[in-house]
Amino acid sequence: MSEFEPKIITILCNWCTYGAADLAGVSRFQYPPNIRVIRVPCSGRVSPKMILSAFHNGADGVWISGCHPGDCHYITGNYYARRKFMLLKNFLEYNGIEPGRIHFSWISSAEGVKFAEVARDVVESVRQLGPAKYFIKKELDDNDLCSCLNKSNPDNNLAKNILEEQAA
Amino acid sequence: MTMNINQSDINKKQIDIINQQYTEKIRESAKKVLLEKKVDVVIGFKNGTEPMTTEPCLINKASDADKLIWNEHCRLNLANYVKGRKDKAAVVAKGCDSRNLVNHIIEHQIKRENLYIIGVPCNGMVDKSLNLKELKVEAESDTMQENLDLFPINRDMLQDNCKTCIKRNPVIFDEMIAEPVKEREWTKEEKLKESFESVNKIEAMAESDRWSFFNDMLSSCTRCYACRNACPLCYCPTCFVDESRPQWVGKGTDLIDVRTYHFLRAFHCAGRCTDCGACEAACPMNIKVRLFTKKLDKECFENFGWEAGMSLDERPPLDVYKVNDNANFIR
Ligand code: SF4
Ligand code: SF4
Ligand code: SF4
Repeated sequence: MSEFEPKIITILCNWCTYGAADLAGVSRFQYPPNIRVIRVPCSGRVSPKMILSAFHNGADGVWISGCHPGDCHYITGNYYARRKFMLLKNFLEYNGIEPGRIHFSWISSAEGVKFAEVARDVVESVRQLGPAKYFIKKELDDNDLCSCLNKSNPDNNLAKNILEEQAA
Repeated sequence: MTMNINQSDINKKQIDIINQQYTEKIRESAKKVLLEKKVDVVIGFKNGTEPMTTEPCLINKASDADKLIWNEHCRLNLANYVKGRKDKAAVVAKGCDSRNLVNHIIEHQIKRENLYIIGVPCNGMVDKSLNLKELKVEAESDTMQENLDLFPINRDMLQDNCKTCIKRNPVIFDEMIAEPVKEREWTKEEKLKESFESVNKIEAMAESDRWSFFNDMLSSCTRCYACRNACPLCYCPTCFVDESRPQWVGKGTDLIDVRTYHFLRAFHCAGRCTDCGACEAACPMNIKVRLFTKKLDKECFENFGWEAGMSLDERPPLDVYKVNDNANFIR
């Protein structure tokens, strides 16, 4: 077995997949500790800036998850997001990023089991690819990862960026 | 392979005559709309300070109309100079400029009633790097006319985007200065194969080769932002490259920052780019930045049947959705 433990930045919508992550935790479903969760209001809030920023800061993979089509809290946010995500995925791959580095899913807040399952698959798929090779600006410090939404951690670039932008 | 337009059929003499006719008609229309007070400003091209270059030119007096010209070096996109204008403007527009005017209208950057479009049927633009390199024009050549004598347009000399142009006549106009030119009719398959040939080649490479291909391509980029500034699509009050809190992309020529800049610039043009080539025409380093935007053009064409700027009645692909859009990449 290789020693490599991938670091995965996970961007979850507040209303569905974040709830699913909660449920998975409460229900004691096992999933690997490689994922670092960032909560956003809607999958439609995700911008390509965030994905590249994750890679800049040392993520080995990115996983984005929101509500099933038709279940969006804002009615249509994830429908718009779906078109953007397709272009984003294909454009990342065109730039040279390997297909298994970026993942998308729809997981409702009742699907704790699916959350744990997809988390395992995402981590495995990134583990197979090995450490990130492209778009890296700095190695991700383990301190950065304790809590991605920990505002008080001044080194936490990605979380800081997102928080600052939301405040602006 | 059927080619309806064969640029080599248009010989040098014809080009001279066309340029002269176009120039006269443009001046005439400019005078007319200014004298009739239909518009406050006319936006066209004038001769540049170097051979084989032109510059955008804004005139507001009929007596200045004789500054305006037309030739095969009008590579920039004049739709770039109307965004956000509150006065009434006349714009000299070839096919691609008019498609960007459509973009502006549907993106609410300008009002149709504030525009007077002087439509130019386009015979294509000469590639700037090619003609400088291959024709070895002396910098001190004195007049444009002398230089123009050197240039019959044949297909090999056209800039890349003109070779695959889908709309040489303006989409919308208030007057046309000449009879429309013949458009090339593409089937979907032809377009996917030929128009996106450069993209297809890159897609066929291995991942790591694609990564290094773009690294090489961008190694000379100086981050001057000419490609952004020449593009009519870029009008954000604060561009992401200037955002400092947070700073999503570093300012220097660090290769990752350069890659990030080009990635995001192209992504912001997704579903909007008309492949007008102004970005490449403006790049001082001759970087083929359209290789990025063209990939997203291809995605939008393949998946949403979309070609930007062709209709005032359709919303751009990222502004709409279908319940049954492709979802096979989502768990
Ligand atoms: S893209 Fe088409 S309309 Fe634009 S300059 Fe080239 S040939 Fe003319
Ligand atoms: S990205 Fe380039 S080709 Fe596309 S609209 Fe802008 S200037 Fe024209
Ligand atoms: S115009 Fe050319 S050199 Fe300048 S930022 Fe764009 S690609 Fe780089």
